[in-house]
Amino acid sequence: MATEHDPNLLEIFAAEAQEYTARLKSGIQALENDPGDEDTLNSLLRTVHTLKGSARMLGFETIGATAESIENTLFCIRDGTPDVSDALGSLKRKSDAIFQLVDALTAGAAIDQHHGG
Amino acid sequence: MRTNHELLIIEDSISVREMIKAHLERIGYVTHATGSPEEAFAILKDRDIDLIISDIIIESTDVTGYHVLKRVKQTDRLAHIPVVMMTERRDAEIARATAEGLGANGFLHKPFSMRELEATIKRLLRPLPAAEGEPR
Repeated sequence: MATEHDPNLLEIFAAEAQEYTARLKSGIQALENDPGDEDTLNSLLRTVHTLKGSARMLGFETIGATAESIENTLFCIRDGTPDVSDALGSLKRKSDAIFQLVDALTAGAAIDQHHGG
Repeated sequence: MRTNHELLIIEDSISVREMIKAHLERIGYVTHATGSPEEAFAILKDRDIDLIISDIIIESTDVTGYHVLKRVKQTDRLAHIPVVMMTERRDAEIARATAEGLGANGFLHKPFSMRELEATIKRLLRPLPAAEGEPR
């Protein structure tokens, strides 16, 4: 994993992932109010896609896989699934999971920074 | 006279951008990195870039890597520059075909290794007139 060789990358990714999850949180809230809002959906898709790609490039497989699962649910909503409320519920559960993963990573990065820097 | 190839990296993820930049600088390339297509064209205007590596989906904007690729290949002064497109998309083969149709010279499907990146770049770079400082 790239971050094993460069602890600075872990710190950069943790900060970046926090920013993406904050955008996810507000986007999902907006989507709950209006599931048909294409701008919000597309913006969420771009955010989660970037988070997935970054996580995988840096070797954070669990975050990458969870982001992919969120992306799949967003595609279902965009493609007009008849079970929008189920999809939104699933989206919220998966998002909660990714928030926890990113928080744990951030805590780990802080420990690395404390001991390494 | 230049002794090292200059590469332009267009990638919106700061962590991925830094990872690629750090690796390429470690092996001797001069790099310019940005997450903004607009800034990328400002760099292309000012610098003599030998190769471009661009993400396809750029999170903060509706301008995609395809737009960047198309504009590079349609600009006389820039069209000769090899462009490597990278993406994490599930429909990678469709993305590759689209990129090739627009003139891309290389394609990397994320996650890729730094070794793959290095091999792709080496395959596409043309030797500099004075190649003494070129990374091996």
